[in-house]
Amino acid sequence: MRHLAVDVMLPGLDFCLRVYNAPDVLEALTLALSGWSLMTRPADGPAPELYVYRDADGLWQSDPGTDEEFRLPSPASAACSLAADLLSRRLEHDAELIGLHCGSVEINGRLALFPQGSRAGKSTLSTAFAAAGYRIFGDDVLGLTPDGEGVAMGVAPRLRLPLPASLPAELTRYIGRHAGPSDDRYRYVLPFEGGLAQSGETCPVGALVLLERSDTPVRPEAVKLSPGDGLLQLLCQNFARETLPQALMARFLPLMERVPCLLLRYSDPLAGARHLASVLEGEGDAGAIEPAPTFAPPEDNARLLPVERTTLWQPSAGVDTYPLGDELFLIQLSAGVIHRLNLTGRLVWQLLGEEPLAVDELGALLAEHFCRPEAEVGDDVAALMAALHGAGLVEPAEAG
Amino acid sequence: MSAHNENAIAGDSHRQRRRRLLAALGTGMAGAYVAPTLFSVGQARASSSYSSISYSRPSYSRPSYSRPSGYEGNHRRRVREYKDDPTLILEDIILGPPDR
Repeated sequence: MRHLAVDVMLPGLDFCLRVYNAPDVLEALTLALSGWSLMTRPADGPAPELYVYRDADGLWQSDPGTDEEFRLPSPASAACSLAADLLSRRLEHDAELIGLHCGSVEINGRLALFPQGSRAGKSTLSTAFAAAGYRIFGDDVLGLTPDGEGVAMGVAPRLRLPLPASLPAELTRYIGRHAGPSDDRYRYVLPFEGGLAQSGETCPVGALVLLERSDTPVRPEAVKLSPGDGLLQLLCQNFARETLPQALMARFLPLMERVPCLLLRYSDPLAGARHLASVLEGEGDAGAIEPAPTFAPPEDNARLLPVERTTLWQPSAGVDTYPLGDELFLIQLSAGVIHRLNLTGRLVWQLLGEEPLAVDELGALLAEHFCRPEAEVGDDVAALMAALHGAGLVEPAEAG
Repeated sequence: MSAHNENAIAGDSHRQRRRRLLAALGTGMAGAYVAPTLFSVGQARASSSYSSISYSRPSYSRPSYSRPSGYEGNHRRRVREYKDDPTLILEDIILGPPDR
């Protein structure tokens, strides 16, 4: 067998992967990382931390950082697992990059990002964009530079199997024609030549798009959201576990101040992709801005002690504030916890910044400002102050 | 100073303070009232009235690179410390590892 053991060199990284007795894994990995120019050479020297091999019991991969190995069910799964490790190394290697958990596609020379959790439809929508002739930067991970540019990781999109029966025939055919490494759980899709950005390729971010996938047929629709919705999604969907919230805010806030945040509602991914592209290319309209989400009070709020309405309150020390649109984001520096106030909450915070104030007076001021009944607004303010106090964001003003 | 004057001065001061605080709220917001809300990341839970955003990670646990799940039951300790001698792994492949 040719090159029973090979070292796979990753361009730009001082790192290699060793593959023993598993040429099918090497082939699957090469296709999955089709945006990389992998180089191989005969294995030489001590085994690196990351290796994969086949023995009589199957495929085994080292678990970096432990003294264990784990079995992989197929070459395609080996490619998935190795790609995860390699992307981690790739982002660790470039400390300036923050890894975002998102799909990304180039539309009109700018990237539309879909920062979502698992099983939200990122990969299928990314594949649908590829089928519609757009160039994708990834379906799962994208690097973000300090200047707000996306950096491709060079990994082909990967779909879970079985494919939903509801996929349009055109997309199913495309997935079949462009099938890459597969097993019974996953299938990579290899876009047309040039349809997948190469690892390290950059493009400015043009929009954030949150996804609302419907199981029942709906006409695709894109509506504008508040920038705070996009910021929150970026804060949740990133891989920068060790980065302080203030540093994340410094990276994400300027981005959300200049790019729109949209919500894409769709059932057919291909129709959704085409509709979103038409909106971002200026041919279609995005609807009016959606109201900011009204979050259910956390369960703990039920246990919050009501605040005394005549107590004077002031902001606690050690809280950084970040206005965005109508809203205000707060970071408690000691705990690293991030909070979000809607417009009215932001006004309450502004008033507390003027001088210590009691609930009743805050309610009276807001009631006059908004021309609303004082009793109603006062109750709302009391609930907010209980939450602020419970979160440690305000404290009673010192006497005198 | 008479009590009347003192009250008048106090009233003026109160009105000035109130005007200052109202000015701090800005203008043009009348009619746009929504109840103030505080949302803490780590407690994210979109209400049913707003199904358009499903924050799929309801806590502030950021995602990790998604190695396919299902391998958890297939771990084993390394049969040998292959880093010490790169030929061992080849021997194990060909001859089978010792004491397996």
